[in-house]
Amino acid sequence: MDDKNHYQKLAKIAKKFTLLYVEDNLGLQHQASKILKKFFNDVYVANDGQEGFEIFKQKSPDIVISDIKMPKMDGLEMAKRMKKLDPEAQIIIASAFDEKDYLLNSIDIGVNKYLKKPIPIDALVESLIEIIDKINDRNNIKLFERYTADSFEYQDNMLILIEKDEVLTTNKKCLNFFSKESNKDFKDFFREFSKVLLPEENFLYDKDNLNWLDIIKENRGKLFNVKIKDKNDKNRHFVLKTSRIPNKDDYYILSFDDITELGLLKEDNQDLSVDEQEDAEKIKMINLLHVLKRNKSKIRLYNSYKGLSISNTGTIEEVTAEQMSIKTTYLQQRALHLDKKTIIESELFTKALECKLINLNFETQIAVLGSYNFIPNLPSEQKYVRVMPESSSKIDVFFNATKIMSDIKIIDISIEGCNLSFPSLPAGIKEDSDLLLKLKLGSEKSQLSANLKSKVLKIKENSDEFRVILIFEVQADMRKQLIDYIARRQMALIREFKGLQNAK
Amino acid sequence: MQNERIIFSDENHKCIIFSFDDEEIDESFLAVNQYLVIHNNSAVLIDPGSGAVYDEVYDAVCKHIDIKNLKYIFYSHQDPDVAGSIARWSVGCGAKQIISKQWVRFMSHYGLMNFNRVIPLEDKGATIHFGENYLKFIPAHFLHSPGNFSLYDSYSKILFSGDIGASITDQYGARAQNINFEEIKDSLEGFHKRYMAGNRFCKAWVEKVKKQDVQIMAPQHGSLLSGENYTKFLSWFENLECGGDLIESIY
Repeated sequence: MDDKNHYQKLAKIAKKFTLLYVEDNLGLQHQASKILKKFFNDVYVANDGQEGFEIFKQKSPDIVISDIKMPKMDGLEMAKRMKKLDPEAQIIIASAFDEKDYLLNSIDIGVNKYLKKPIPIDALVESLIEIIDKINDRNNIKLFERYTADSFEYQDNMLILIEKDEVLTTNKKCLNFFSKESNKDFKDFFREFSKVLLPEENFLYDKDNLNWLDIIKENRGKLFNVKIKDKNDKNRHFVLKTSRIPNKDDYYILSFDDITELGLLKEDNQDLSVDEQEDAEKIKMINLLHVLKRNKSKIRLYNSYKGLSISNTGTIEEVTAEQMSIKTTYLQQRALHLDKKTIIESELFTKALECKLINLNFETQIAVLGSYNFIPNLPSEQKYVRVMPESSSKIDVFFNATKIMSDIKIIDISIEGCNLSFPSLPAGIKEDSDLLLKLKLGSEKSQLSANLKSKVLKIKENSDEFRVILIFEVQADMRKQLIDYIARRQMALIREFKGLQNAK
Repeated sequence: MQNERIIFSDENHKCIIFSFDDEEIDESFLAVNQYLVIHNNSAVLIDPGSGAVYDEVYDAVCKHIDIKNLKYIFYSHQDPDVAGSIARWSVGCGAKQIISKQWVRFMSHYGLMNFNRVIPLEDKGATIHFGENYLKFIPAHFLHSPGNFSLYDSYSKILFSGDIGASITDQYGARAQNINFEEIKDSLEGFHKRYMAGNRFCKAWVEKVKKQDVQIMAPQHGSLLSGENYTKFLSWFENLECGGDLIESIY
């Protein structure tokens, strides 16, 4: 780096630091402080060691530059006192004396730099850059340790502290994994880190013009699967979590939890039979629940009240192969209490997990759930609000222009379609069949009459009924009336649900 | 009457202002604006307004895109002229609803219980990337709502500022052209002095938005500001004494 670059670098990095300059020669003091003020916003000046030490106690400057020979208290005595007060004080001693004793004394005291007067400006700039880099590294490590050392979730994980897109520091585990000697080596390597993240379905890597780092910063606290090759060219599976450091804009800790041993990568299950794969899936799910618990990651719970979806987040407190304890919101607990079951989703799951309620303690906010059962439909994919109409609502269904004479019930209705229960299903009705619906929705006082063309999307046979999912073809005008009805019904159901809540 | 105007358009991106409502304040009119940002086949609706204008805004949106492609609805804050239609939008489309996390617990009062449909914004804001461009939710807390955000679209370089910059005028944003800051300054003053919480917040917001390259500022009420009128507004706003600074006048 040439001198000009050095000056530019110092000007860029020094602004937020404070400096104390101690010199009894007023001419020199004036001249040097004028130069230093070009780099530092706050420069304090003292005429002797005693005054210097007083300012140090009051202002705690980041860097001290001092002469040795001064009245009242010399520079080395002052430095000694400063180091006693703050062993991390960064002190540069400048002296016209080239004597061994002074130098050795300075080393004993722990002075950071010893420069010979008159100090060449480039040597001073270089020393200041070196000291500021050192302070930055030290602060970053402190920050890193403060947020990671005591936290169980970070134990044994690879950790990286970044500011914006640049690495500030990392831990030994990370350096070892990527075979890097120092933080500096890792900093350079991290700029190409997107090449390290291997593509796999539901995994994090650069795709669709989106940068992996932007994705995780936008989804702090969320867990991501990542696949990385180790030094033996074996694929390793990590769960990556990003946390932001409070009150520090653009500072993030990336934590990589190695879960390869759980055998969740696709390639791990290629030789298994169908039954074995199902068993393996269950074990995977339990293992993933452990990973979620360990990372204090949020899961999402889904319940419904008369068709209306009630969904909040929760955390896993305990987990075994048979049951787990979940902490969730009061609202969700009430819904759980009514439903006696819930459906759980997590960003790490490819399927949803249905669980039965075993026990619920409103005071501790803990719900104990068991009888895990995978279900293929993810409730998060349900886009539209569904409601169960009032009991006074009526429906007539026509197939091939003939009314179906059966007691058909509306389970729920959305703007896009409805879910009907048929005691028996007339011959000929199958997927893609066209049905005409004559609906009377609402109470006697306020009723919406709608004739809707619909198509059968899905038929499911249960022990005592057929469930038929229909998709509507709705004209714009009717669509608005239907939106209005569903929004009003939604509000009425919320009131009803909250009423139940008050009644307990 | 012109209720909509395209304020940015190219082959990938379009921003439209609608003006479907007004309200009275201090015997003056406050014109209410709604915005739609379309990028290729995805769209974000900004401050869609009260339940009373739901039908009109819905029809206007459908003229520009298939409602299925409405991915997000952003509410700068919780006021009824911004978010009064939450329940209907939650029923009428599958879009995720973005609002300050400070307001999420009130959602059931608006008629929404499925919090999977809500993206709560952390106080410091968030960024949604699309390609090299992004939508940035910029903190605007206490200006005037305690949980409040402006939205910056880096593609069109439009800052959707919510209540900040709201001019008390019957000039609907969809109709007003070439607004001169000096001409609307008086109509800005009363509202901002009474509704904004204090100069500290004004300064913090100005510092944040200055980091973005803003071509147009599009508030939820009144006229759009651009070029030197926008710069003049920022200077005026960062020096404005308001709310708590003028506590004696209201206590």
